[in-house]
Amino acid sequence: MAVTEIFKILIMIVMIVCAIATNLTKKLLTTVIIFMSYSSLMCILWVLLESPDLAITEAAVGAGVSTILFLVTLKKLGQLDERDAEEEAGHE
Amino acid sequence: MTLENAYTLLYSGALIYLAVLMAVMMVRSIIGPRITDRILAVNMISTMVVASIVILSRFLEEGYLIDVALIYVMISFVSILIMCAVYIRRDRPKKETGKKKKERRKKK
Amino acid sequence: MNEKFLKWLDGDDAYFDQVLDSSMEGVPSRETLKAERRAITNAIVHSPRSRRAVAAGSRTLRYLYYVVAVLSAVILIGVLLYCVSGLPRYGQENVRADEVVERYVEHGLEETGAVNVVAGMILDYRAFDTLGESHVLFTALICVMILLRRDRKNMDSRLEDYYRVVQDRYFDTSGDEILQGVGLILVPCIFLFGIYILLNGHLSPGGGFSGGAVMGAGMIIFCSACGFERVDRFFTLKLSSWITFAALSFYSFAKGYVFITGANHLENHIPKGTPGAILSAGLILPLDIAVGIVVACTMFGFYSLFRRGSIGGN
Repeated sequence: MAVTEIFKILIMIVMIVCAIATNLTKKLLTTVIIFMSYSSLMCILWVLLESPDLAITEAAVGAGVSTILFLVTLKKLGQLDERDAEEEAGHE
Repeated sequence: MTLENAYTLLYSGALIYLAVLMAVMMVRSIIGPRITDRILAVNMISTMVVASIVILSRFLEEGYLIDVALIYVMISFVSILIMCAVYIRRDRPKKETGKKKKERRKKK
Repeated sequence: MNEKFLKWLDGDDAYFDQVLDSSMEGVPSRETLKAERRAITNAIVHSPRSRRAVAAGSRTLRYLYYVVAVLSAVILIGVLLYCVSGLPRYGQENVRADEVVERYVEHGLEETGAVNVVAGMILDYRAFDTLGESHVLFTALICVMILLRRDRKNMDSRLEDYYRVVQDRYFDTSGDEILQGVGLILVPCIFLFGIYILLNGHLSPGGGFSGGAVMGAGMIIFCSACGFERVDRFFTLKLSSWITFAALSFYSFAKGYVFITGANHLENHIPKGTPGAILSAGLILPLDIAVGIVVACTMFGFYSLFRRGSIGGN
């Protein structure tokens, strides 16, 4: 098998593990951080599929805009910290 | 062993090694009990992604993939800094830059 | 010092909170913040006026809404599935698509004049789709503005003051020395790079959407590093809406002219230039700039609306 095939398979396995882990964690902040790493692995896949336009857009949006927007949303919801999350849960 | 074969072996070994390391860092980012563990793990993953893209640009002999690596480095670096700054909440007096500094100097 | 640092790292915030609360002047502590928020929510959500408004909605209308929602979702799913069933199966050869692909790849350079065939495709052969896409971005910005804007009209003034003054200051990142130092060095580089990607859309990979996303990310980073006051000097609501409107209408009129002349088999005298020069490929360069402006303003508009509920400050 060519080298790029083995590399592709390894990266895809890591991405599947990452995607499953975003569902199974308990804290929302962990989910946002794992989402950022998922986006960076997606960037490598776009490079391997020879589409640099998509790689540039994925890098800018995934690492910059999307992560920071999710963090600001979490701040509004009060889930940014462990103590805040417990208080929010205790409210209801 | 010709020179091309040696280069191919070097690049392929480096790529597979980086992929295995990325898997290990992903495990740390899922397990790590504190938030700071996870932020560090994501930082290392993004550094390894940049290294992989640069190696791939030499491996596939396409010059424009270096642009992708440049963007990724700049934006992910500052994004991790912002994450750390949000997590560590302390009082930060605003640094006077630009016009206010000039006014202060003129007054003195 | 070491033990206290390790304790904080492990999640024990007691020591850190003491330092935090005593050094932040004018910002109340966590407990007062929580109590205040609870009091405001109780006063607004459980007031008799809002209770009356919730109870006054009629029941039949609510059931009708549920029925119509489910029915329209089922109809939409049925129509889409019927359209998808006409496509060939996965992995088969598709003769009609192959003809189109060959035409794009072989005659792309001479017909559009762009070295980057992907940019030539999305901005010349299929420019109508990109027109719809830019309008979708603008519509998304309008929808987020409807939902999240903090006005006198759609938010109680006590809640608005609470969010604007207290909560935003508590999570503000703008005075951080490291972030400000790094930001002031890197943000010009990011902007320059974004403009380079935008202008070279027809020569090397990149184009309108990528360049706009990079410029939007650069604006977000600058805003996080230097605070909202410095951004409000040049990015107001009026400026943002006028330049998005100008970019979208320029795109519509220019491409409208090309469509009309092309459909009536007339000659539209837009020069194609030599492939490889920067002023070439007909209309692709101005359209790239228009799309990039729309994307950048949309990204920063989202961030500003999420953070403080308005684009230009008040």
